[in-house]
Amino acid sequence: MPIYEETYRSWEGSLIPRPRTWRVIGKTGIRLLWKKGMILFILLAYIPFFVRAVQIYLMTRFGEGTPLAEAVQSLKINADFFHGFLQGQWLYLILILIFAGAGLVANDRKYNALTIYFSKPVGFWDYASGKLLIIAFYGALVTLIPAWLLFIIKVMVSQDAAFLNQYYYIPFSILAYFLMVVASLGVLILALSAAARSTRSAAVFYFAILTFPEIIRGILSRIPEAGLFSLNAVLRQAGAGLFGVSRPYVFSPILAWLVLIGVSGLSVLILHWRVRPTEVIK
Amino acid sequence: MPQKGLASEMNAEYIKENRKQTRHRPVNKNTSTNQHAGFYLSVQLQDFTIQYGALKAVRSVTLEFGAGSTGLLGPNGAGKSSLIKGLLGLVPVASGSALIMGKSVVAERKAIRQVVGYMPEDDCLIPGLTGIGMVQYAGELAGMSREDAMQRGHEILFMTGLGEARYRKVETYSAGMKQRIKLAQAIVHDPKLLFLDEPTSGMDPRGRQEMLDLIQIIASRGKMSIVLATHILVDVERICRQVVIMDKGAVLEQGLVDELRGSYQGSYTVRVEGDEKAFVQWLEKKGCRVSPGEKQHLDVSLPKGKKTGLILEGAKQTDVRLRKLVPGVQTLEDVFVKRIGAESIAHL
Repeated sequence: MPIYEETYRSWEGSLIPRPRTWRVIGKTGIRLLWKKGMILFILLAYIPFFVRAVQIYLMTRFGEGTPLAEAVQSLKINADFFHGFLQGQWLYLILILIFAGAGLVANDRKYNALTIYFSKPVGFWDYASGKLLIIAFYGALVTLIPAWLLFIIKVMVSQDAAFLNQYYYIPFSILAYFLMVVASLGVLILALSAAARSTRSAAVFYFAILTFPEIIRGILSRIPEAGLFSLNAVLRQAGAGLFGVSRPYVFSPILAWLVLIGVSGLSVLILHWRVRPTEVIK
Repeated sequence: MPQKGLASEMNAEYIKENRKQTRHRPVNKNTSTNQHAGFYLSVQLQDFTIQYGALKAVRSVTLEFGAGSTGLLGPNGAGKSSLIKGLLGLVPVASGSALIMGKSVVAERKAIRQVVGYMPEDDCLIPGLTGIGMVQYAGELAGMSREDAMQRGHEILFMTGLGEARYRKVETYSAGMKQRIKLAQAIVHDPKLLFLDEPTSGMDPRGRQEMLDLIQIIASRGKMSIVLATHILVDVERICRQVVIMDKGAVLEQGLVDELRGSYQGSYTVRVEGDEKAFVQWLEKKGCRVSPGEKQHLDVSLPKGKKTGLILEGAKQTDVRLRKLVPGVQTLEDVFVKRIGAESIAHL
C-alpha cells in the first residue's frame, strides 16, 4: 500500500487525446449494475434457454423424422423456433430493461451528475451511447447470447451440415432482431428515464407504455391495424420478417418498421431535450 | 469598463514574480518560466454574451485572465457561474467569442474540457459510486488510463482529506465531504486551468478554512491556473492575485488584487481634537470627501493632485489639534462596495 502525501503533486502522465468516453460510461454502468444483483435476473432468464437446449438435443438426436415431430410444428428446430424463443424472452427482457435502464438517466439528473459528465470531454452522443451500451449488454445477455448459444448447440449436435446450410442466416437474424429491440425498447427506456425524475416513475411509465396498448389491441382485435398500438405486436411483426417466418398479424410489416423508427426517433428527441449539462430556470 | 491589455500587464507581473520565485527555488531543469508562458493567457473573452430567454446573464464581456489565480467576484446573480458555464460549453453562447488557452470554446469544446477542471456550485455526484470510484471515473472520462486514474484517485482523495472515506458511497457523504469530492474529481487529471464555482458554499467555518487551504495548496504547488467564482471577498483576497468584479452580467473592475487595494491613494484616516465640524466643512470646501470612520476617526479623501498638506492647513485654519493622520487602507471590500454601489446608483 503506497503512502500518500497530503499535498498536491502534479501528475506526470499523459491523457489519451480523444478518449472513448462512451465506452468508459458503458463499462462503469455495467459494473455498477452487476454489483446490484443483475445476475439473479439473468439466471432467471436462462430457464427457458435450458429447456430449449434440452429440446434441441432430444429432437435432434431422437425426434427428427418421427411422426410426433412431423405432427407437432412447435417441436421443430427451424427459424420459427428461434423467433419463438426470442418472443418468449419478452418478459425477461422487459424486466431487465426496467431494472437496468429506468435509473440510468433519472439518477444522473437527480444527483446533478450531468454537470460532471459534460464538464469532461463527453458529448450528448457519448453519454447516450454509453448508457445504451449498458442496456445493450444486459439485453444481449437475455436475447442475443442465449439465442446464439442455442444455434451453436443445434449445429454441434446435428449429425450433418443440412441444418447449417438451410438456416445459415439465423445468427444474423438474431443479431438484427437484437439491434431492433435495443434501438426501440432500449432507447425508449432511456428516454423515459430522462423524462422522469425518479427511477420508479420511469419504470411505471415504461411498464404502462408496454401494457396498456396491449390491452387496447385486445379490445380492438377485430381491427387489423390495432396491433400497431402494441410494441410487442409491432416487434413480432417486424421480427417475423427478419427470420423469414409467417407473419403473426395482418398489418403491413412496413407499418411496423415505421412505428419502430417513430418510437426510436421520438425517444432520441426526448433524450436530447432532457439530457442537459445544467438546468436553466428561465 | 474592462481594460483591454490589462491581462498582458498582469501576465508580465506574474512572469516577473515567477522569475523572482524561481531564483529562490532549487533549480529544476524541467521547470522553467517558459512552461507557464506557454499558457499564460488562460482565458480571452470578446463580447461574450450568455442569454437565458430574454435574460442576459453575461453581457458582452471582453476580458482576459492571465495565468495564476483569478477571482470572479460579485453578488449572487452577477453572472459568475454563467460565465464559467459558458466557457465550458455547458450553456449556449448567445454571441461573442471565447478562447481558453488559445482554443475556441465553441469549436474545440471537448479538447478544452480535457485540460480544464470544473468544480460546480451545486451538489453534483455520480450515484452508486464510492468516493474512489467517482474520482477514478472522472479521471477516465478525462482521458486517463484506468490504472492511472485509480492511482491518482487515491492520491487526490488523501490530499483532499477523504482518504478514510474513499470506499464509502458518495451519496452518504456530508455536505463538506461532497464539496471535497467535487474538488477531487475536478483535479484528478491535473488540469491546466481549474474553475471553482463557490467552493466554500454550504460549509461550516472549519470546513471552509480547510477548503481554502486546499485551494491555496493547489494554487501554489500545482502548475494550474485557477478561476475562483465567489461572492465571499476574503476568499478572493486570500487565494487570488487577480480579480474580476462582476455585477448584473457585466465586468465592473478587473486588475491585480494588490493594485486594486492600493488604488485608494489620497485617502487618509484622521482624528482631531477641537471643532471637528468646522474642520470637516473647511476640507469639504476645498474639495475633499469626508466621512465618519470608526472610533471617532474621519476618513478623508483628497482631491486629485492634493497632498497631506491640505489636511494640515485645514487643522491650522480651523484651530483643531491633529491627533492622528495615517494613510487609509482600502480592502477589496471597499473596492467592491464602491463599484457595486456606484453601479447600482447609476442604474436607478
